[in-house]
Amino acid sequence: MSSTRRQFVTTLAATATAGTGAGWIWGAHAASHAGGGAKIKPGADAALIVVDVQNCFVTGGTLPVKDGEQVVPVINRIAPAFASIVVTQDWHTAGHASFASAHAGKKPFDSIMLKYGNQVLWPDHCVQGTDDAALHKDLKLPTAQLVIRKGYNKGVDSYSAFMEADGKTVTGLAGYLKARGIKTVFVTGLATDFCVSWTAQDARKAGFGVYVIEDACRAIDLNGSLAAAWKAMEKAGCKRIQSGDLASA
Amino acid sequence: MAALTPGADTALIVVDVQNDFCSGGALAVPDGEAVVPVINTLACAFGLIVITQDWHPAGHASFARSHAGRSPFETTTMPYGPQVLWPDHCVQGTRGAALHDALELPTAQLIVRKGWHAGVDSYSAFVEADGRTTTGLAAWLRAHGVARVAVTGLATDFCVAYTAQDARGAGFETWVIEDACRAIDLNGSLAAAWQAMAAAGVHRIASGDVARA
Repeated sequence: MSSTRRQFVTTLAATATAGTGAGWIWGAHAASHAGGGAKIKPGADAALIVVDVQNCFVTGGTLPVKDGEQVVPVINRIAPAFASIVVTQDWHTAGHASFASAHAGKKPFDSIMLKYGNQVLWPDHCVQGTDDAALHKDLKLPTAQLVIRKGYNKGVDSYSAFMEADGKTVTGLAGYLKARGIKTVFVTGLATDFCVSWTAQDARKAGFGVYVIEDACRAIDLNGSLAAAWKAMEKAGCKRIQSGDLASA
Repeated sequence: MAALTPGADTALIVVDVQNDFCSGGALAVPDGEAVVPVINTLACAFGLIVITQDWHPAGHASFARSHAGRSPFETTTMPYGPQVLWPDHCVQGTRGAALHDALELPTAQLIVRKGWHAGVDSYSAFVEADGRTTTGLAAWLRAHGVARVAVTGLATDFCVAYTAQDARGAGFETWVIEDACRAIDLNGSLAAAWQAMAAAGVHRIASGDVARA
């Protein structure tokens, strides 16, 4: 960060309101910690959400995200700062509606209209119980309390860890987090512009304060999807931070 | 009467089918691994499946070694009440804490871990031994519209029994599938567990009583 920008965000910090809801100003609160030298310290009511760090989404997988495996050491390093950790897995049936192979004449990365709206079609990926769907072997999260799977209804995709693509069917994650007293989530994983972005936005809709840790994510960036995702996350009130903005445990 | 026809409102809960509770494990339940094929076969009858894992930090309060001069299977008193002391078992991230290799539940939607607070045990997959701290499982089940649960796994007289009774306490109609469970049976604990489950309104059935999909 340039010194000019640092000064700017430090000034903003003086007026930024901590906490959730309308007081959340995009970037200002998070940057205030970094700019002001103080680090963000996740509290007892914070959870780390690790989205889809699975073999399918890293080099050698069926739907590799460029440099996807690079999130692993970053996530492993920040994990001890969190008392609560949730891991998600994309978890599709064979022949899932989001697979191009399930639609005659369609190719991966085409789009199609399904009952619930537009759906990008993907190569077959993250099929339940396969090695491709397993978590990356170097992901070390021994203290994680929950592994939650999504996208297991054959006719409905679910980028979001909170809500399936039909916009109605919940995964149960919000209920779980609220029951455990969680108010703020820090989202990491793959891919920034799809499952991370949808998860972060839905977390806001469910009433959580949301940070997205940019360097703990990697993107697919399909037809400008990455820029669009950051814009949508910003609009939803998600805060964009770096792993270095966190106080270590 | 107790037969069960699982519907969209019914979840299978598979309790603690982990290496440490099977033969060769640190806290082996006699014939623990015998539940694996029974559960694998039952799974196809359920649209919703939850797996639990006992998941202790090293030095957990339920370990005899954490208490000077105490031996495994003795009982001590914790702030929340009596606590059986166990050999070190199911330590987070270890091979002993991993699910049994032959457990095949590819359609399971959730893996929930319990007993991860250093000072509090949690036999139950719903509420920790302090009687207050929720694991979040009831909320997840309710969000999925679940009204009925079938409980299987290890051990009948500890984690299965506490899970089943707390499922009743959370308002779920509850079945325990006896041949999909195995017991430790410490000082009459198995008979006492069945009595407590019956008193809580838990239905006791066999895997053959479950209608298959």
